[in-house]
Amino acid sequence: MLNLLCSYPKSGNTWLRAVLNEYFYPERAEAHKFDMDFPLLFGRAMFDDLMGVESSDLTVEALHAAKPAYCRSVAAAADLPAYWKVHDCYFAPRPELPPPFPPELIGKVVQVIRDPRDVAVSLAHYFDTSTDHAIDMMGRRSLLLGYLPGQLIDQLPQFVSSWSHNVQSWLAAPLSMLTVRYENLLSEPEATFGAVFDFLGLDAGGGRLERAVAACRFDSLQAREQKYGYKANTGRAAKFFRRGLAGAWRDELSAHQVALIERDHGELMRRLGYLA
Amino acid sequence: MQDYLLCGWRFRSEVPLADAMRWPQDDHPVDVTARFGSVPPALAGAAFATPFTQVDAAGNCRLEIAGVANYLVRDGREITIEAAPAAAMSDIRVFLLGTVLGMLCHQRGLFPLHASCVRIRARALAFCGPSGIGKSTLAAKLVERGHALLCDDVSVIDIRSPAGPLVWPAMPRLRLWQDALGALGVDPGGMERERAQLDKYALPARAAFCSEATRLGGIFVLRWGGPRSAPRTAPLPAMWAMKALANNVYRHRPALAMGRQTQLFEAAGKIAAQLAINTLDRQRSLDDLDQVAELVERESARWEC
Repeated sequence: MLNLLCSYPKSGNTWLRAVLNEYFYPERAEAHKFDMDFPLLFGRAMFDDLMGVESSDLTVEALHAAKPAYCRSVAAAADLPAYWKVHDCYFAPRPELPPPFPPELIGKVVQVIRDPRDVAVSLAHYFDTSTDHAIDMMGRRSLLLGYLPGQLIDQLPQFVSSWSHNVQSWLAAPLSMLTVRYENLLSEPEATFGAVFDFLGLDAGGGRLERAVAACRFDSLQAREQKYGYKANTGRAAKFFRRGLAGAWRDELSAHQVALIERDHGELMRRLGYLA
Repeated sequence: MQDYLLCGWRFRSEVPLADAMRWPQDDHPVDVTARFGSVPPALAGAAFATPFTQVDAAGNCRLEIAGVANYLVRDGREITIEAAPAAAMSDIRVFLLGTVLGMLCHQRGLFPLHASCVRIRARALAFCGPSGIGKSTLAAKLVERGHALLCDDVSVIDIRSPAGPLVWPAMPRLRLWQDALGALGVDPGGMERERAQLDKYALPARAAFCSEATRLGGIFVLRWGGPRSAPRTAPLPAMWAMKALANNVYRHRPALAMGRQTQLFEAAGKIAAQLAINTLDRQRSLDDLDQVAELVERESARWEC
């Protein structure tokens, strides 16, 4: 079975994985704590290894079509990680393509969601782009990440879609799901990560939960990045762990930018309580 | 039908390999034949099966690429290709020289490493790592700096030679994406695309090609370093070196299904015991390419070859 940690990018997925890594490998040396064991599901090397073909010689269409078979191989392999990071939308980019996540293969899914206004700020920094461009990306229904024409990168193309479509697709998925909010991971870390551990059936007793959460406080992750670097930082920004705040959009977005996000995502924001 | 020199084999192919070295007129028997013909829709009793690749217990391999061709590889000698209607010959060639070549190596008891290889000071240096880590780009940079190319993407290593592991040269061309060509100052205008739908080009390297089997002098395992950090290299202890080599065997899982686990493990052990195997950490950008190439030249000069 495939257990997924899914989220729109810049919503707390890495933080969640850091806590899980800390829980499973508390003894790992500080310098190697970022060598995380719960990688991106649609990594190119893993696909090539399991499918027995070079993904770099295949078209984007062929890769979309191969995703369910790839998920089947990952689920069937005994020597692979227990949890996988996913930024994809639950649905395929077009109805004629097979669903990328066959429900019978999916075990448990933890979804992390975050106020899209904060996501916009974080996304702009991560891609070292303008906030307006980040807002435009978040509204694009056809958005693919992990794909840049003219380049080969170590991820497969991922159909991320718009923020609303992505978040909504998982919320409505007929799967064993737990949805947590980035804002609650910040404000009540032990209770919220505790709910994740309960849902995943992990024994959090004996102070294991508290220790894992404490070791992954935002300032600790920042300090670790400062000291050892975060090699999985595929973005263009010097710092992956930047501010780690909820509501930072209030001093980083213009009123016009806020209005654009609310225009694109207002309906889902209201349903999720991000907007009155 | 034309006979080519590929990985030391007399390779007779109905698929034209324009860049490849021709086999001289002589009476050497043909080692491998690639012909058009019919390929069964599936392999019975496959021990490894994905929508692309199947391997049966006897080690036969079938590769299926929709819209291009189906390939059957048998006994390390026979390749049958059933082309899809209207398939481009260039597309058929891409997979013939990729996965099919890798499966052929496994059937022939060789050690195909996912690596590009250049010759520096009369020894082969291999750069291995997953797709997208920059193997071909680094090889191209070293070729630009005057070193000879041996192979790109897959390095065929023969550990049975008494003189130590040998690398067999493959195709005299480098396969590069558009951004890498840009970093090398090559204009892709007029160059041949590997596949019509992909921004990946074949850069001919005939003038800078070494067509002789060359002793392997060392291996760099390419990895991502942190953003904006200087390239770094460090020796890998033998145990980790073996693990890195095993992880970088080309088409590793299909090979395991062929029953090659022990052979590959022993080969990796032999290579790790005899050669310098270093990590090479670099940035996720092409900005440090010259520095990486200089580091490779400097570091490999210290190795006893």
